Amino acid sequence: MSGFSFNLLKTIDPRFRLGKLIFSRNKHEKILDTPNWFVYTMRGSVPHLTPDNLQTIPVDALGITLEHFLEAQPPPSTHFVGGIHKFLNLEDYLLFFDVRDSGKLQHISFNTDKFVSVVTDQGCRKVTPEEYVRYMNIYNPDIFASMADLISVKNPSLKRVKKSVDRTLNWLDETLEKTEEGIHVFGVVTGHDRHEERVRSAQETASRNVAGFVLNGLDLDMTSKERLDLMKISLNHLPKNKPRVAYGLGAPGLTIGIDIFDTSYPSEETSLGHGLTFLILENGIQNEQEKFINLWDNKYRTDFRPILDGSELIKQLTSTSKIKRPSYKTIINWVNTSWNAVDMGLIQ
Amino acid sequence: MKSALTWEIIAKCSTSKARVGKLILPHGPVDTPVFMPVGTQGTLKGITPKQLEELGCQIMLNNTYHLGLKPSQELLEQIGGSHNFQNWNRNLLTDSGGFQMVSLLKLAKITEQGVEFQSPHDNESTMLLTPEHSISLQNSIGADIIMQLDDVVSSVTTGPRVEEAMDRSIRWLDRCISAHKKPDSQNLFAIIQGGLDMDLRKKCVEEMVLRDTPGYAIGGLSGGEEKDIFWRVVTLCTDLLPKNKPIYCMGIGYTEDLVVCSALGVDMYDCVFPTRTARFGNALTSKGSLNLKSVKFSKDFQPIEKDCDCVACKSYTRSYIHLQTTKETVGCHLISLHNVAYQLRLMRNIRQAIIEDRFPSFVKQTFKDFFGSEEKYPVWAINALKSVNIDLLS
Repeated sequence: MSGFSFNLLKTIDPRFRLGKLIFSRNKHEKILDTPNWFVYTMRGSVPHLTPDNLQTIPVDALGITLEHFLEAQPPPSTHFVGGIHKFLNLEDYLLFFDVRDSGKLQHISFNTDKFVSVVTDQGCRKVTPEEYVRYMNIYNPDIFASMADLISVKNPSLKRVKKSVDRTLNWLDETLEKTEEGIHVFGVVTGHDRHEERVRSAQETASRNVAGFVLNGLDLDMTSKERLDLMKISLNHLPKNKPRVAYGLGAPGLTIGIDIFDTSYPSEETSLGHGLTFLILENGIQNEQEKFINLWDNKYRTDFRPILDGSELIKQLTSTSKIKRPSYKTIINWVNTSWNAVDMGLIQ
Repeated sequence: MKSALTWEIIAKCSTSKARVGKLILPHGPVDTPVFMPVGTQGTLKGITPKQLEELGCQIMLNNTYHLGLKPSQELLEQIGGSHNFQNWNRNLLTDSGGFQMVSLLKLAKITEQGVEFQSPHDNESTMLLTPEHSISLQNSIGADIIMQLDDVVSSVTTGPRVEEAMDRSIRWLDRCISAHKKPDSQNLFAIIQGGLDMDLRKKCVEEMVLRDTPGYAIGGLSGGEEKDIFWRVVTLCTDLLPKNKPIYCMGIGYTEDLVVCSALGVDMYDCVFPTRTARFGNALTSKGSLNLKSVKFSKDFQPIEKDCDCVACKSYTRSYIHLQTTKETVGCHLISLHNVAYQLRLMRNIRQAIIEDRFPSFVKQTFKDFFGSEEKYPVWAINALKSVNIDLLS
């Protein structure tokens, strides 16, 4: 596939994966080091950050949700000539699209063989795989996840789970057939809580010409440990050389071989007034500070230090002199994001 | 009295009373006529200090009443003032706090001592803002320009109360001057009162000019009075006030008001309007404002304003901002950035026109663009401009 490749550089104990996703943006080759994350967006913007502020944070990839654009159909932005990168003023970033919000899966209505129900500010909307692919061909994002029949009710029957796997595979076939050259499709692996269905979904998806995989833990109403165990079943049946995206997992996802995470976490923390303050050191242990400070707490009224003290940070870096680079960078991103957003949030 | 500013008129319009000045304040220069955006609680909502600096803003307003409540005087003292607190290294102006007492609070009572008001903390006890207390608060905030506490009456009030308020404002100015502890780094401005009564305004100017403050404000306007009287009060004040001091007309921010008042010789303005209206989805342009919430912008792929170089106009279409506005804070931020850029550009254009001595034609063009046709020109603006030899209808 032109302008898009994934190099798995190193695996430890097959589960820990270090890789590079290489993509082409604005005629430049760009690299997304993995493990990494898709920055969470609402209506195509990173909450609270104007583009000049976003540029001060070293992020490369954003996750965009079609659901946020579907109040009117077709979305007005599909009339814009020049693609979604330009419309959103995100021309230098890798844009990954999915239908539903990766931060929360709101139950709205049932899906059928023909469409998926989505939530908008104006209520329920339906979107068919044909419409989805048509919008994607106009938007021209770097990657999008094929449409999936996610189960948003508790304890579904085996029949329902099978139907979900079948629908998702059928939609994937339709999607692969209709997607234009240069846009990369990630197949969504489903199977809910059924072992044999997860295996079937993984094997069938892997046999198709997809550029990567998406594992969605949001429809699994269970603990993150249980989610991880179910995802592991799927991962065992996926080829090693293609990137895997997962929703609804925290950092533990690193331990099962996920390359890219959705992360609404910083945005959620921001909306609670939390400024993140933790670092992950070489030995995997968190630094001594609290995970976050609650900036709405009155005790910070007279605290004139920054959220994360720079000198404190340097001390920790030099004392261990071994900080995991990606973690460090990621955390700093989060802190910056939070800081800007908290700042804005408090002002509101 | 002592002054911590210098002010020099660098150009005058040969037709009207408009002038361009260079005001040097403790935190740097300010080109006048200037519009000062309002950062009520120590921040211009949604805009970082860096963004505001990049827009070319030289002076911002903070509200004493809000900062006094939060973060509080004690804390501002500890951190060394509002500049430090909000990381803003350019100029600040604070109001006296009196206006908020009257406008925001129920049961505010004004006595010779000060403004007595119901405590916003418990809504039971009463608190008192005196001229001394206002100045003490403003000394702690540390703004480059501070305002006297004045006795504000609604601009539509008539009768003896107006005269009482004017006389009391003079007495309170004296108390403010005596209470002011930092005349070397903060400039205290007097506020001319007197309602819509020309004789009272005249008397107030005479008395206050004797106090020789570093600058003067025209207060008690923009409260719903007839605009045809408003401009007459403004022009009377600019006629009577000394020519070597900056004149600040409080609460002015609409395009036509800024253009007319500049023609009448005013140098400084403030208003919450541009940023408040932005948060409701309204973008200001030289052809009037756009309500970007409206569905008619959903497929409008032009920028808010074609020649604007703000980040909203350089990067986004009206359609994108329509998608965000009133739903995501980014929408508010982008329109706020644009509206501040618009106001600052308008003032820059006013100054440039005065410097190049083509202000009258600039005024005519601005009105033509903004209102579209002559029938829509406000009569008061036509009258006001005629009084300074600019005939909008010729």
